[in-house]
Parts: sequence; C-alpha cells; structure tokens
Amino acid sequence: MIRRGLCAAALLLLALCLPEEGLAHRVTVFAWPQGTQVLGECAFSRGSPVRQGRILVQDAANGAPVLECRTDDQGRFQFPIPGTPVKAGHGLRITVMAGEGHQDSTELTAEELRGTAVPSLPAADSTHSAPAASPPAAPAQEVPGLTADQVREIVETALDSRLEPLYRRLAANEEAGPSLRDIVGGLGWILGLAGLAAYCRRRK
Amino acid sequence: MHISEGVLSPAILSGGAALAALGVTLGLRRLDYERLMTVAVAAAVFFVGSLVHVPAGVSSVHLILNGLVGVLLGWAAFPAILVALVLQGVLFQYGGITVLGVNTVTMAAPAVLSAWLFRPLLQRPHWRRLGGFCIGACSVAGSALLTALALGMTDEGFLGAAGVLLLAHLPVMAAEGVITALTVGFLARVRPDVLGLDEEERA
Repeated sequence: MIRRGLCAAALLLLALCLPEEGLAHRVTVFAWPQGTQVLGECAFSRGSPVRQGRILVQDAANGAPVLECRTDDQGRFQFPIPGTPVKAGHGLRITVMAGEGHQDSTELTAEELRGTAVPSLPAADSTHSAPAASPPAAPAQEVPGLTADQVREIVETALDSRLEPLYRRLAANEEAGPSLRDIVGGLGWILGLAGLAAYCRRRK
Repeated sequence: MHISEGVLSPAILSGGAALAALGVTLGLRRLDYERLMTVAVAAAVFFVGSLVHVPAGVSSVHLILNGLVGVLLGWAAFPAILVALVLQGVLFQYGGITVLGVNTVTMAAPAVLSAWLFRPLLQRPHWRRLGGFCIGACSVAGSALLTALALGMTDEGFLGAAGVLLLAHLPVMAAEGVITALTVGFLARVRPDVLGLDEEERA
C-alpha cells in the first residue's frame, strides 16, 4: 500500500515537473490561402499545437523546395504565396516536421492559390490561364473611383474574414482524436481475427 | 512513438519489415492456440492503450503498454502488436502502413526482451511487483531507444532524439511500470496460468 502510494506520488511529481513536449502520435497540418499569404495550423491529435515545428514548402509538381519557416507557439504559421510555382500552374506541398518521427503534409492546388493571389498576378496572366474566372462584366459596371482590381481585392478581404472561422473549424475537426466508432470497430476486428484464427485451427 | 509515413529511408523501412516478419513468424510458430483469446485481449489492450493520455506538463504522451503485452504473450507479442498497429494505422491514422515493420519491431522487441530478462523475478512472490514494474518501464525505455535509433539512422541525430524521447516518456515509463506491476500481481493471485507461472512452478 505504501509502495503504491509512493509510486503514485512519484508519477504525479514527474508529470508536473517535466517540460511540455507534444509527443502524441499523430500530427496534422492544415493550410489555406488568404490574400497574398498562406496561413496554416499544425497540431498533434487532441489539439495540442506544434510549437516551433519546421515547415517545408515545396512545388507540388516537381518537389523543388520553395521556402522554409517555423510555427509559432500556437502552432500557426504563415508565408507569402510564392510567385514562381503559382505562375507555372503548380500547387504547393506543405510539410510539417514536428520532430521525433512526426510528419504530415497537405497540398494547396494552383487554383486555390490563384483565386486569392490577385496582386501577384498581372491581369494579362488571367486571360490565358483562366478566362472563365475573370469577370467579363466588371468593366461595364465599374463604380466611379474604383477599378475592377480594387473591387476584387475588397471582396476577397471581406470573404477571407468571413471564411477564416470556417477554416479554423475545419482545422480543428481534422485534429480531433479518434471517435468511439473507430475504437469499437478496432476491438471488433481484433476479436474477429482471433475467431478466424481459432476456426482455421480447428479445421486442420 | 509511432513513426509517421515518409520519415524513414527505404533501407530502414525494409530492414524493419524483415525483422518484424521474422518476429511475427516466430511468434505464430510458438503460439499455443489454447491461448488465442489471451493474445486477442492483449492486442486489444495495446490497441486501446494508445488512447490513454498521460499528462506531461501542458501536453501529453500516450500509454504504450507493450511491456504488459510482452509479459502476457512472450514471442506472440509480435503478431499481437502488429495487428494492433495495423488497426491503429487504418482507424486512427497513427503511424502508417509502410512504417508498420519498424514500428512493430520498436514496440515488440524491447517488450519480449525485458519480459524474458525479468521473468525470474516474477516467480518469487516478494519480487513479483518489482519484476512487473521493471518490465513495464524497461519496455517503454527500450522502445524509445529503438525509435531514436531508427530516426538517428535517417536524419535527426540519435542522441538528440533519444534524449527527447526518453525524457518525454519518463511519466509513461512510471505509469506503465505501475500498471504492469499491479496487473502481474493480480494475475499471479487469480489466474497464474495466464502468466505461465503455474507450469514453471510445477516443472
């Protein structure tokens, strides 16, 4: 009894004085474009953030490294949308390396990036790459004092601020731990496999 | 301590897969089919154990329970842990399919080894709890070292990874030591056959 109490006390002490380390098992990265930036969040399962994790951004088409950055203490990161891969019509692959073998990656397609990166793309570019996306009626209804590009920028900013909570909720959803259904399903599988093994054994 | 997809080099992945295949074959060959349900229950415990989080400061690490599986199953820990890891990979996205071999070896090998090393302690009633504690704690420590070794052979330095992994898993080692000690003590009183103790005592 005394030994058990001592063990419990030691355990508590250890738990209290250890440095915080995100060493759960699964890490997720979630990123979305906003204006001229790409924002993102990295977390271990159950939502604990990846502090100072390495973020590697690559060209999704050919794997060429584009840039590197680190997450802050909330597990968030941001970087400007790089011009070269997007102009070439390539997406970006964003990989988080959280250390000790934890890694995850996500991709943003060129369309997602092009949709927001208005200032980095000259208007001439959009005519040959995405003619359907450029608003043909815009010049006709131009508000006096505002160019089409300015209107587009205002709309983008307003949309971004509306969509950000949605993106964050999506990110949080992705970081949620396994559900009860997964757990019960796994237990069922184990029992089923054991039953199968017993059946095969009996037939011999 | 599940290593994710795409971290390790192909050489280490295939080496780990080969070792795991060897261990699983040995485990299945030595498996007494009367004890099939024990294997299934141990696999289920390992499968669920990773969902139990042990607080380490603000963040948390999870239980591994490989020592408990090792002391219950011996070599059969390899197939049991492999099955549990497959299901964790598919259902929870922990680890990954290509890393299965390496993860199986890093979890099962230290468990089998420490269960074998400390087995003599289990046969003495006064030392039984201590033996259980050592098996639980040493299995986790061994897994941390093997994981660090696998990572060290790829890119991160071995010493750095080993230090971080061992430090972060100190509470897990303590928790699993206590869990294994209590379980072994209980089983030895109630069902000594599950631990294989009664046969040895009779022999």
